[in-house]
Amino acid sequence: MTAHDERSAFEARVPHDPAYWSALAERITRSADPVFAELRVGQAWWNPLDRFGPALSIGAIAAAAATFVALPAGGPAAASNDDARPETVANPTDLLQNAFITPSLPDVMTLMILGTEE
Amino acid sequence: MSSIDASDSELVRRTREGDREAFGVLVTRYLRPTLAVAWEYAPSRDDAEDLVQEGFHRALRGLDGFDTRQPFRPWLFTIIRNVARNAAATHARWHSVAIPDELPADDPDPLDDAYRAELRDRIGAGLDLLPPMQRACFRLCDIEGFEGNEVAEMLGVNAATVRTHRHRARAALRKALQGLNDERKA
Repeated sequence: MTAHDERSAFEARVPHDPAYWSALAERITRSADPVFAELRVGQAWWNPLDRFGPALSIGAIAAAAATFVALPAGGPAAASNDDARPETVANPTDLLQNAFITPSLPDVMTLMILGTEE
Repeated sequence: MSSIDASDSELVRRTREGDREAFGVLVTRYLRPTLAVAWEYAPSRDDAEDLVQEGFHRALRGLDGFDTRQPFRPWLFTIIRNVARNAAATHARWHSVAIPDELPADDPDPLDDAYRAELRDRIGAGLDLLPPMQRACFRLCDIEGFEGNEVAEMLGVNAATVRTHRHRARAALRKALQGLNDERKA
């Protein structure tokens, strides 16, 4: 008895007909519709972002690095003293400035002056 | 890139997003080996088809937990085997081995037909007596024509284990068929 005899005695039971495989694949794929529906219900809104995961991670790292570089020398403590001061100091005599930066409504005189300048 | 040519990881990603076509390509790509594995546990093709269907559904449900950096094939085969084992454990009748009823009659010689029928019966009986892993390795490699490495992946063992089981299965079957061969020579 040779190996060839052993093989020829049994036909492969897994079918060779392409039509059989197409039909079975179609059946399995179609029968998965309820599973797809079930998964869609439970799917979180951020799941589609998964495909951008690497890019988003790189972006976040770059943003963190940029923030660190942009900090003034001496660290956050140094920045909290001088840099926190407003760039412009309110000047009570500057009517135009007062008209725009003060929380209160400008008085009638101020509006008249601004209107005259135009 | 068309779906047919897409990598497994690309198809998995698209399936996760609800792409049925991508899922269909995965099913088509792995249908034959998964059916062959499932049939090692099931008594009939119909039962094996049901197992494969259940296995693909479970894989679909589990895709969110699948790490796409890992290969898809072994993961899928593990699911198929688990589904098949669980089913076999709950169906006592599944412990028997399904043997094809008919064989191709290439040679019209009635003596040869009788010899082939006897040969088939003895191989069938011999396969029945083999341990499950030997039977699976022999059948998948020597009858179904899968490569040893492929069968190793399908069964979740290494290639050397498959070779060992095939060797032992062949030795056992040769022994079972020795009497028939002697009778024919006489």
